[in-house]
Amino acid sequence: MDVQKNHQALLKTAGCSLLVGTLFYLLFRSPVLGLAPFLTTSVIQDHVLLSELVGSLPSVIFMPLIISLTLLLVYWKKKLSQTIVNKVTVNWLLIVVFFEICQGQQMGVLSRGTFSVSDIIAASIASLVTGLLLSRYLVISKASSTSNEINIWKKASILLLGSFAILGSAYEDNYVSDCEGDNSYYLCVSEVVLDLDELRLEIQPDYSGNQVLERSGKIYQLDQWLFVVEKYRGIHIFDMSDKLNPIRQVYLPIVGALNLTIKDGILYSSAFIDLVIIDLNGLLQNDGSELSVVRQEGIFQYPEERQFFPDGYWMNYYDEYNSTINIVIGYKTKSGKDILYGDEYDFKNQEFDANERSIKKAEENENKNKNVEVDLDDVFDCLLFGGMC
Amino acid sequence: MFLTVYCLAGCVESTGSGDSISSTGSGGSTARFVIQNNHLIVVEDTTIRSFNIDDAMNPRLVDQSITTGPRLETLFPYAEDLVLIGTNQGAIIVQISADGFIEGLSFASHFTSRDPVVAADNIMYVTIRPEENSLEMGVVDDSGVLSNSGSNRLIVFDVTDVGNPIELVQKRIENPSGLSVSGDRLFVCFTGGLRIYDVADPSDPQVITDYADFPCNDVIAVNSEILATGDDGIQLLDNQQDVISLLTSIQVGD
Repeated sequence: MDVQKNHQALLKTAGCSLLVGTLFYLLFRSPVLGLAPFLTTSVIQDHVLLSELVGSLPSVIFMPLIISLTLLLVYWKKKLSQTIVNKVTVNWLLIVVFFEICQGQQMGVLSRGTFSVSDIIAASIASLVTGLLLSRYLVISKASSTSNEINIWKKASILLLGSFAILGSAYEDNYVSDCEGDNSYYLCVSEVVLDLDELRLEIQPDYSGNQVLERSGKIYQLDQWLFVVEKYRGIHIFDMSDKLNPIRQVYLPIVGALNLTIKDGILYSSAFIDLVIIDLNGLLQNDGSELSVVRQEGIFQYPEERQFFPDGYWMNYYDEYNSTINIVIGYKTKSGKDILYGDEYDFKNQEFDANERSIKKAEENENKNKNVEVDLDDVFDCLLFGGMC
Repeated sequence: MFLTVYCLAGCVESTGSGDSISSTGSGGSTARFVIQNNHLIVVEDTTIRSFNIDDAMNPRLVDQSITTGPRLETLFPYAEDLVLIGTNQGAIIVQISADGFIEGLSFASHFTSRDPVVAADNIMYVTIRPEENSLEMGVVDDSGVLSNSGSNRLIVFDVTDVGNPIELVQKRIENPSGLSVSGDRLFVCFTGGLRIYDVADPSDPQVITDYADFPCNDVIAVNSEILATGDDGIQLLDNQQDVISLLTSIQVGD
């Protein structure tokens, strides 16, 4: 009698969370199930709180399911005690937290998904609620049941199954981007921004002669000196006294440099939105005197936000951009490469291939997900109809 | 020739003498920062600004002017107080007053294109080429006059009256960009490398040679030397002989 009542309560709990879980995946994560997105994810991403809630909901749903299933399977036809309920609840919470922390590390397959503190909080709350609910509705014997010897294999298999389920439910962030599902998926980029602090780093003249010319920009010729802009990065100054053998005099790292002119030994250079003024007199002699630099901030316009973006790109719109505190200087590709200042990048060869690989990987993962779900469903069916597995 | 240009721009001494540095140098035809009449002149997009630099390390904005149509792309200081602005719709000539105010003088209009501009001895040279991503729609009649929107040419103007530029001639040239004039010679970067015209008679420029070996997008001709600059780096060329030869180059990756 007691045992039957317990079965009912546990089945109800497991069934409810399975139902809510299925609904959740259908609504919010249909791509994981290989279906077309049901809700446009941008609607959710526009609301920080909503997206946090949706992101952590699986943790809430998962805890009652796994706890009640464990109690059902392992303590089938056995008396339950408060200690057992507590033990199972706490153990599963610890396992989930362990996996969540793994997601924050570089640990191969264990790191699938994204680490989020809110997931841990959600899992803890869910465990607490489940534990309390079960203690209230289960028929629990007061005495701790020492006679409840559990088969170690049963224990191990449940543990393994649960772990797989947690791994399987690990959820890739990229599933919910606006880039998702398109055949030019590989053009999916996010922006790389430059903080104004980085723009305004102190300019340290480099006399080492090691700075290589990479992106030749505008030039300025003054007496024997040749100034060559390293686009968006700085200015090289060459001594051309020996016309057959130019000497690298000094390199000035000026972030955002593009245009320059000189009057009476004073160099005026653009630095994105700033105007940089440098006294060349000491600099060209390399007399050891400190570089005299003045920066007038915010003189010029911000570069167009998408100036350095590739043609036909797709955008992760949850990138935050605030043109008053930083400057968009390039983009990050799907495979994680930073392409700055409009540098050329062979998307077709570099990114398309990487994308093919990642699609293959995603498909494999999807299959894995399905398998795990099938396993759980089988277990559930078996519990529901067969009573015994 | 360039000596005159930058002396007119207000310099005290023209070339380097000993350790002292000349007042100003040359930044080519694609510059967006120039010095004219003791002011720093800057263009970006549709704005031209003039800064007072009497206190050299602390420029002070004196005047700014915003155009409603043309996008301003290049600057070239000319004569005592003029600045030629290359825009995507034609060359604009403005005057910079002694106290830094910008006065519009004239607009030598052509059709949508991109164009650096230079001038010497009352003659202004403009190159125009198709804007990126636009198709060339130009139609030229038998006399070589542009009768529709179009590009890919060199246009020569007489600017004796700077308020009223008079077009002298147009020459077809494939995708021209930066240019520089030195004496009777005009140097133009284009698809085929570096082209040299004889402009002794500016109304009838004659092609002297095309140098395919010197690809460039801007060129600065100073005295006996030419600096040709492009995506691959900078080439210093010797202009003392009939045939131009490479002195040295600073290549990307060097």
